[in-house]
Amino acid sequence: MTAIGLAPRWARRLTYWGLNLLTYAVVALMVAPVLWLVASSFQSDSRLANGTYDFLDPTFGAFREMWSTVDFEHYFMNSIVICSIAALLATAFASSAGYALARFRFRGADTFGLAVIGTQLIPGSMFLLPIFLGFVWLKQNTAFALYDTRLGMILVYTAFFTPVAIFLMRAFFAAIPRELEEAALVDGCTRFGAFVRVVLPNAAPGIVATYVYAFLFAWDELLFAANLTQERAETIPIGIRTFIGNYQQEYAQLMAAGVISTIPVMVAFFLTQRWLVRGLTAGAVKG
Amino acid sequence: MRSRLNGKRRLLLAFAVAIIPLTILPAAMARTEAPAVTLKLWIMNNGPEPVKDTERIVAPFERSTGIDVDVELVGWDVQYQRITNAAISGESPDVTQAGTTQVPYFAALRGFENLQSRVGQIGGKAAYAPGVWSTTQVVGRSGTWSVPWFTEARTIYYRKDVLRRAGVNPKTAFKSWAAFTRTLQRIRRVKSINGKPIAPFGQPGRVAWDLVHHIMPFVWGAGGRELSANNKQSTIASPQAVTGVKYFADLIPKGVFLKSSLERNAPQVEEQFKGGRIAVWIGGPWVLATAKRTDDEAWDATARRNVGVAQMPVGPTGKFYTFVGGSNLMLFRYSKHKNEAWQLIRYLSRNDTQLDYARLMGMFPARLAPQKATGKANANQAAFYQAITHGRSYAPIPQWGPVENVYKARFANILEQAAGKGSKPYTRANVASELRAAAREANKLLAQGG
Amino acid sequence: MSESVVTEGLPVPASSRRTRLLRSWRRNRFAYALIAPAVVFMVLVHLIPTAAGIYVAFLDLNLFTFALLFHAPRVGLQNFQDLLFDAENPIRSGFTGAVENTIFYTVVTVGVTLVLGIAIAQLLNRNFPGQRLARTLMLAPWVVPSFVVAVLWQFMWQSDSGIINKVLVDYTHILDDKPVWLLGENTMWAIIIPTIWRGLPFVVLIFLAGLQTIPKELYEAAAIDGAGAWRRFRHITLPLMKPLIAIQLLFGVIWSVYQFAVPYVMFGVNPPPDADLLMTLIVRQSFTNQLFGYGAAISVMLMLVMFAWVVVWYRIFRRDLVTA
Repeated sequence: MTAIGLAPRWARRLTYWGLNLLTYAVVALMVAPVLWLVASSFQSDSRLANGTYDFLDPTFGAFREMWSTVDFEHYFMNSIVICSIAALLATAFASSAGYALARFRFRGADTFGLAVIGTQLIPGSMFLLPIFLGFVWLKQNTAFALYDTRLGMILVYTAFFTPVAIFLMRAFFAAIPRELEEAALVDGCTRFGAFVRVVLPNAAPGIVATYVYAFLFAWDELLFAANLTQERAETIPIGIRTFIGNYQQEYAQLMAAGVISTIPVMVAFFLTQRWLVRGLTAGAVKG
Repeated sequence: MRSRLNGKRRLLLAFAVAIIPLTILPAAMARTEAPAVTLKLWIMNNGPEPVKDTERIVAPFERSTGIDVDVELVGWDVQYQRITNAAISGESPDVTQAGTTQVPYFAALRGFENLQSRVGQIGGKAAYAPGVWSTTQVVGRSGTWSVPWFTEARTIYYRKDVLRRAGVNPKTAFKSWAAFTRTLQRIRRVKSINGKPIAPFGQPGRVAWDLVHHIMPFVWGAGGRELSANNKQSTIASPQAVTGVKYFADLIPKGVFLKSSLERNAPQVEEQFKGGRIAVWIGGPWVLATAKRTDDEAWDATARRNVGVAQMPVGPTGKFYTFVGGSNLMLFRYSKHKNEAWQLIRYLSRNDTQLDYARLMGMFPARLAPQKATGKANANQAAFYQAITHGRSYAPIPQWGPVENVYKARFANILEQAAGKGSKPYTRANVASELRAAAREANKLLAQGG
Repeated sequence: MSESVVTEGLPVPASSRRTRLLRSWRRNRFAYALIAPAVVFMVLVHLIPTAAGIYVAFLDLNLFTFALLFHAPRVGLQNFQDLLFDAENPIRSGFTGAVENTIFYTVVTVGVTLVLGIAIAQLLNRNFPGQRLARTLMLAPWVVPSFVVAVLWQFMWQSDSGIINKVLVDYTHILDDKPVWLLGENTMWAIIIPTIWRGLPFVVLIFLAGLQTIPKELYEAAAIDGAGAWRRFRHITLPLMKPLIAIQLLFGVIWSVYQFAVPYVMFGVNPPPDADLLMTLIVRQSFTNQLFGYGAAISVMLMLVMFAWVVVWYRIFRRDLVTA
């Protein structure tokens, strides 16, 4: 909203700078806790326990200790492997399903669309126990060991995050003009060929955005990771929870763990920021 | 026609290509197995360096038998859920530590070995004090479901220098409930030591896994019980129990209780005592041992030199009680190396290993002979040994775990009420109603067994 | 969506009904193949387990009957009755408490996030020095994982050494006493505020994009007609933003009601009575107290309420949505 109007010039300037200061203050408030997280991770545990801070004397001690205190490397690697592969699969499945929803009117399309929304309405607790039991049953009666394995977590996460990804991809595909595919088809491409060679490249920003979105959600997931893993496939949220359980008083290390946990998603986000933002807002604007 | 076939073939090919990585994934993710026998042992936070200390203790075992012992730390906050999941799912270590009060609950999950046939090899019932041995039994199921590992009891820790400054005689300071309160009020006048502020008393609140162990001694001291004698009903709302709980919570409005402790968990309040923030605290014997360890940096220098222990105060019944707990070792039914695991348990049950580990942890051995020997070591140890022999524990029923959780939540509500942070004002009537709610919920849980 | 008649290089024959059906079936086969992987996963992970979970709600599945699993005694609607109508049942008091908390939490979180979201989007929609940097920095909270948010804020909420009280009391003297955030009634705010903090960037992003599609000419015309800032907002901005607001409302409510990570990481599985949400209650009853039947029953009721919410939402906002 631009302050056009019939107000006198000095009043307009005042409003302008007043709003600017307000904006800066708001942004500062939003960023401050993150800065606090980082600043605290550079203090030592004993200082934080007493509540004293010394910003001029940062130390990496907390980071070093954290890696050796808790098997953080293990959790970190698990999170990276599980989340990136699950996000990849989710994006792949969502791309094909989203394309189908965007382009074709077929019997069951509406049902499918509703079912996809419906999956978001089911509380995790509803199917946590059955999946837990399912994994246990598989382990005891078949050769498939999924409990406490990366594969099991990947399969579960893929299923979880495909629905939202479908919606994102659908919006992206809907934004791509049909003429492109039709031209390819006229040129002799098969439908699948047109999909792969013409549509997907055009949807690349959308694919990247969806991937990062799915990755963010997977990275965040806590409830299922807590119950479907034991010691081999534990992810970072469980590592943090264990950390809290064993070492809660070592706040600097906890903050350091928080920083390390945030870095991958922050990197992924800022690398793809433009596409992600464009993708999410395109979906929003098109409805 | 040709183009159609091409399209279909390509589609199938594409899907096949997509599926192949999935079939490779399991192989890619499999970890290689170590050739020799490796036992996995889960332990909890026993001391400041639990994993290192335990590894040191089992090193001779590893050397003499060639069995590798992989020690993993599972914190008290999360061990309940982890062991439960392990027992149900079949994905478990070989041996786990478990709290003495948890053994019946875990055993009821049917994930553990009955060690009845084997315990004869380590002396059986006769090698342990009756109270300790009873923690291996489960009401309603015959058998021996765990082997006692170490014992601990809680008693009063205090700062000798602070008591001196407040002009209180340590011999009578904590004799009775009235004396306890008076002492804390006198200490309150000592606002700081060496320039650092110090509060009289502090205990953790809702997030402490052992909150119930702190308060129950006062319930017992007032003549109350946590469950009825036949373990079928909760009696936590009896007038005596209310008196006991109220005595403890009253310390908060009296101004002698550091309120910020309530936001913290047990290790954090332990650090508050070590760091010189509180003068009196109720804790277990391991803290005493850490005072001598230079690698424990949480100790304030003055605090370290001035640690004293005293018996719990005598309540209206004329007796004093304390919570006696400790940990036992349980053998998982799913272990692939049961004989080796039993060997490890046997090793940890040897009198000399018991003495070594206990000394390292600052706990007491679970076996009778070394337990007595440790009790004779010095005056402070004698105080703890007294506590052990006067100690009580909870009913060995499977539902105790969930019941304890219910009590914990209600006790926490009462403490927060007393701190002025509850939803209702702090009165005896409200304490009683909170405990009645606890009793109703506990009865529901107790009724599960049918 | 119109069906495009594509012929793969051949001239269009005189379309007979059979040919058209064949073609559409062929086309649909492709569509079915496209959605197949997603459907398989959804059936395996969502549908079947949910059906099983619903079944558990009708069983008396607890610590002692757990070994029987799905053969545990069937108790029909007993679990639901106990939760809703049995005043003596202690689980019910936890349940009603969690319901109240969740409602309060959802209303405040979603409401404040929407209002602040629009306001901040307006602020960022202007031209001012550092605009691009501000818009980027604004997104920072969203990238912090929810469990780190919980850990960080729990650290900041400490009453004596936490930075928030230090700023409020020691540095700016806005308050005289250090409030306690992690005990008592304030615990609800202790979980609401981090949730809003983390949810704002996404909302601001969406609203900002929406605002940018509103042509400036509309505002200029209105200003010339003498409309003040507030009236311009009410009559131009708000109506055009309604679709976005509607979608944010829908998902915001769903995410708030299903919130688990923040109270769980901050307080454990047994949060203080004012911070106990429905999901922590369910997880506690199911996995800590081993009362799986109750946990499943609460989950079923929760799911029904959310379905009802979607229906209500659709009725209200149907006209405002742009349907493809």
